[in-house]
Amino acid sequence: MDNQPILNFHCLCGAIAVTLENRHNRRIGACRCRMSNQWSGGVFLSIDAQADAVTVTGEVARHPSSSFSERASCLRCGSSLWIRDTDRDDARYELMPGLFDEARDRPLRSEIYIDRALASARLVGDHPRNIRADYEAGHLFVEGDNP
Amino acid sequence: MKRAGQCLCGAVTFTACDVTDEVHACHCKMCQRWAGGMLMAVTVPAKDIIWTGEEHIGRMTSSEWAERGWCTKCGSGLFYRITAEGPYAGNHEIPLGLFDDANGFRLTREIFVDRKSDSFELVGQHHMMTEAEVLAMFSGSDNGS
Repeated sequence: MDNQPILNFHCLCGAIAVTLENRHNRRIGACRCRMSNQWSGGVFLSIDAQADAVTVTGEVARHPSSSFSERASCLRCGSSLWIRDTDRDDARYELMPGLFDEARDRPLRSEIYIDRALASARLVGDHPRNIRADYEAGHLFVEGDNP
Repeated sequence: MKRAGQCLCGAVTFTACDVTDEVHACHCKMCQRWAGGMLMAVTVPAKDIIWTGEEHIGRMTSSEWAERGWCTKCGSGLFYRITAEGPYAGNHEIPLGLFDDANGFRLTREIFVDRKSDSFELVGQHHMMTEAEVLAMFSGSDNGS
């Protein structure tokens, strides 16, 4: 699927450039939680990448959306860039696939928080789907109604 | 129908009246880069929407006919707005996920489908338009999407 060793991307205005060493065959994950819906407009998609494979240049705006994670965007155009845990230096990136031209043929891996998905924004496919309770049983999460 | 919404951090909120139940998805590369995958949005004319927290709205001119706004505190996309003169002037495309209650909307159209990622498909039978079809539709008014 991917033969290029390095993937390059930039945000809408070009102020942020990111390179990703293309070590793995990465699939697209979808998060349907309330916070992701608000941040990305309805369907949050991401590509998982280990920290030392990612290089970022440009002015990044970082929003601490929980006690353990940040959501990053371009300071100049507001393009969504990634969500990442902040409780350790080697935390993986969840990068926005819309930034990469090369990501367009990657299949969907899974959807989480499927019970929070917007009714008019459902996705086709027989990929695994987890409800909120299933996901939160194994991961850090934000308390309350917002997720 | 009157609807309210806000960004992820709540610094920017809006109230909109007479909101349509129609949602559409744009798959153009600009929307992909900006929103991370595609832009799902609801059209609201300028006269029907009131914002609070405007000091936290960042704006970027993304084409000769439109600007994009986002929350400078949390990075949530807030709107795509037509800035050019014409019948669409002032229209806001409000991201679906911002609405406090996103029930009652229905997906009616996907545009720039020939630019769409193959990674996902939205459920349902709705109108599909290619880039050429979208540009032809707007060419009469000199306003692009």
